[in-house]
Amino acid sequence: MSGLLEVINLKVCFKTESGVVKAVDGVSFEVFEGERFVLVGESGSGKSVLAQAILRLLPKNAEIEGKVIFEGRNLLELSEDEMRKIRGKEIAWIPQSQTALNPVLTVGFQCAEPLMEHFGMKRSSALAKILGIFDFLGIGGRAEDYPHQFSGGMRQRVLVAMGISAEPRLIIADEPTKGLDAAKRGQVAELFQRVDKTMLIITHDLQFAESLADRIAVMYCGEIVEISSAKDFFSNPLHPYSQGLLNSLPSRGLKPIPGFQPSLVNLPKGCRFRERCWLADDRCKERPPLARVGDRLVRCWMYD
Amino acid sequence: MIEGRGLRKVFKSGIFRNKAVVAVDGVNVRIDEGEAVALVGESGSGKSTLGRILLMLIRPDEGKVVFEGIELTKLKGKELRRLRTKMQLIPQNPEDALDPRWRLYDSVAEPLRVHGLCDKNEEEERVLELTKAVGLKEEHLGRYPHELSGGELQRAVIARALALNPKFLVCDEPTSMLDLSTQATVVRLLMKLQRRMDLAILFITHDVELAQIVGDRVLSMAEGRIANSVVC
Ligand SMILES: Nc1ncnc2c1ncn2[C@@H]1O[C@H](COP(=O)(O)OP(=O)(O)O)[C@@H](O)[C@H]1O
Ligand SMILES: Nc1ncnc2c1ncn2[C@@H]1O[C@H](COP(=O)(O)OP(=O)(O)O)[C@@H](O)[C@H]1O
Ligand code: SF4
Ligand SMILES: [Mg+2]
Ligand SMILES: [Mg+2]
Repeated sequence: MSGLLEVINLKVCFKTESGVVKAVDGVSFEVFEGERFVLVGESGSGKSVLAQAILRLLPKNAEIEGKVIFEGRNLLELSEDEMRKIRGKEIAWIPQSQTALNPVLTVGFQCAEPLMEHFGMKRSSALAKILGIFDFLGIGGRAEDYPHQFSGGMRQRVLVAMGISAEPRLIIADEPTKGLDAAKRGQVAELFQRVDKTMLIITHDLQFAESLADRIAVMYCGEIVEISSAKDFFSNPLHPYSQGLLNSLPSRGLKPIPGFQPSLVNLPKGCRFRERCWLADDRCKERPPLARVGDRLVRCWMYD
Repeated sequence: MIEGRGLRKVFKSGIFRNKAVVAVDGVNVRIDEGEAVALVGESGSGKSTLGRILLMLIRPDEGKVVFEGIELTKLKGKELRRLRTKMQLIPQNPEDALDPRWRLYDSVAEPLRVHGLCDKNEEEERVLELTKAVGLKEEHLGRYPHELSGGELQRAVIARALALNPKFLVCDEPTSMLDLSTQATVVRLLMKLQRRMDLAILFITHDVELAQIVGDRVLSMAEGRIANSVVC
C-alpha cells in the first residue's frame, strides 16, 4: 500500500473581526490506496475546512500553508483549470450542504450529467447507471423529481449517488449521514462499503465511522490527536479525548466530557485538551507532539 | 398525569387536498407523574405528530387527551392556554425555539413576562436560577443565538421551557443536531432535571440505545401505531 493522498503540515487560518481563527493547525496524514480513512471530531474542530483545503474550495479570506500531494502532485500549486479537472473526475467531493443541488434540474439528470460530460457516456446508459444507485439508496423511481420534492435525508442520498457514480480515484465525503435516521445511516454505510474506492470520510457519527473505517483520525481544535486502526481505536482508544468521545456513546454509558471545546481564536497554551482532561499535569502546559506508539500516533504526554 | 386515548390524525395535502397521510392511527398512551417514556421509530412513523397532539399543538381528528384529570380536547382558548404552560416542547432544532433577534436573557424571561408572574427583581432572580440549573453562565445571557454553540442553545431552550415549572415535557429528538459528547451532556442534564422536578417526559428519538437509557419505558412506533412497549 502506498499513499494516494498525502497531507503535510497543513495550516488554514481565517482573519476575522474577532481575531485569527486557526481552523487547521499543522495537520499531517496519509490516505492509502484502497482504504477508508475516517476523520472524526466534534463540530468546529476543523474537519470541513481541512477537506475544503484539500480540494481548494475555501473562500478567499482563508490562508493556507503546507502541502497536499495527490498522485505525486501538490494540489495547492495547481492552476484553477487543472484543479477543476481533478475535482469531480479524480477526486469526488460529497459536500455537507444539500444546497449543492441545482433546483431547476431533475435529480436523475443532474447526477447523470457529469457522467456524460467527463466520460462521454450516452444519456441512456448514464441514466441507467444512476437509476441503479438510486434504487439501492431507496430513492428509486424518484429520478424525475426535483430537489425541492425531496426531504433533507433524500437530498443527502442524491449527493452520495452523484459522488460515487463517476468512480473517481478518491472520494471525500463530508458528514454523509447528517440528518438521516438510523436505518438510512445504515444504508449509506452499506453503500460506502460496497464501493471499492479509496475514501476520506468526515463524520462526527461514531457508529457510522465504526461500521466502515479502516483507520480513524481524531481531530480536536484544529489538530489531529490520534491516528489508529479502527479496530484499535474502538477497542482501546489512546488519547483521553478519544476515550471521552467513545464514553459519550449511549452504548458505552452516555458519559459527557466535562467542559467545552475552547475557541479557535484563543487557544489554550500547551495541550489543547488540558482544561477538560482528567489526567492533566504540569507537563501538559507544553504542547505535546504527535508521537508514535506502536503503529499508532497520539498527541499526549502520557505516551511519551 | 397525561393520557391520550384513541388518538388519530390524518393530514390532507395536495392541491385538492386529495392526498391523505394517516400520521397517528389509533394510539393509546399514558405517562405518569415523574415518569420518562421514550418513543422510538423511523422518521415518518408519527412520533412528532403524537408528541404535538399530547401538547395540544395539533388537534387530533379522533380521540382525547386528558391532563391531570382534565380533558384538554374539550377545552378552548384561554383555559387551554393556561394549562399549556404546564406542558412544554423541546424541539429538534434549538434555533426554532429562540428568537434570533433577542438576547438569551429575554428569551428565557419571556414566558414569565407573558404570564405576568413576577416583578423585575424576581424575574432576574428566576432567570439566573434557571440559567444555573442548565449549566449556562451569566455571561451567556447577554448573547444572541448566533453567538452560541448548538449545545449552549439547547440548554437555553431547556431553561426557557422550565421557566413556568411545567409538569410534562415533550423532547422531540432534542439532541439529534448535537455532537455526541454534547448530546451526552444535554441528555444527562434532562435526566437530572426530570428527577429533581418530578417531570413527566416523552423523549422522542430514533436511537434505541439512547431511548433505553432515558426511558423508564420504551414505546416503539411504526406507521402511526404503537408497535410495542418495553419496560426498562
Ligand atoms: N470562512 C470562514 N471564516 C472564518 N472562520 C471560518 C470559516 N469557515 C470555517 N471557519 C471556522 O473554522 C472552524 C472549523 O470549522 P469546520 O471545519 O467547519 O468545523 P467542523 O467541520 O469540524 O465542524 C470553526 O470555528 C469555523 O467557525
Ligand atoms: N403538517 C403536515 N402536513 C402533511 N403531512 C404531515 C404533516 N406533519 C406530518 N405529516 C406526515 O405525517 C407522517 C408522520 O410525520 P411525523 O409525525 O413528523 O413523523 P416522525 O416524527 O416520526 O418523523 C409523515 O408521513 C409526514 O409526512
Ligand atoms: S497531554 Fe496532558 S492534558 Fe493533554 S490529553 Fe494528554 S494527559 Fe491530557
Ligand atoms: Mg463540518
Ligand atoms: Mg419527528
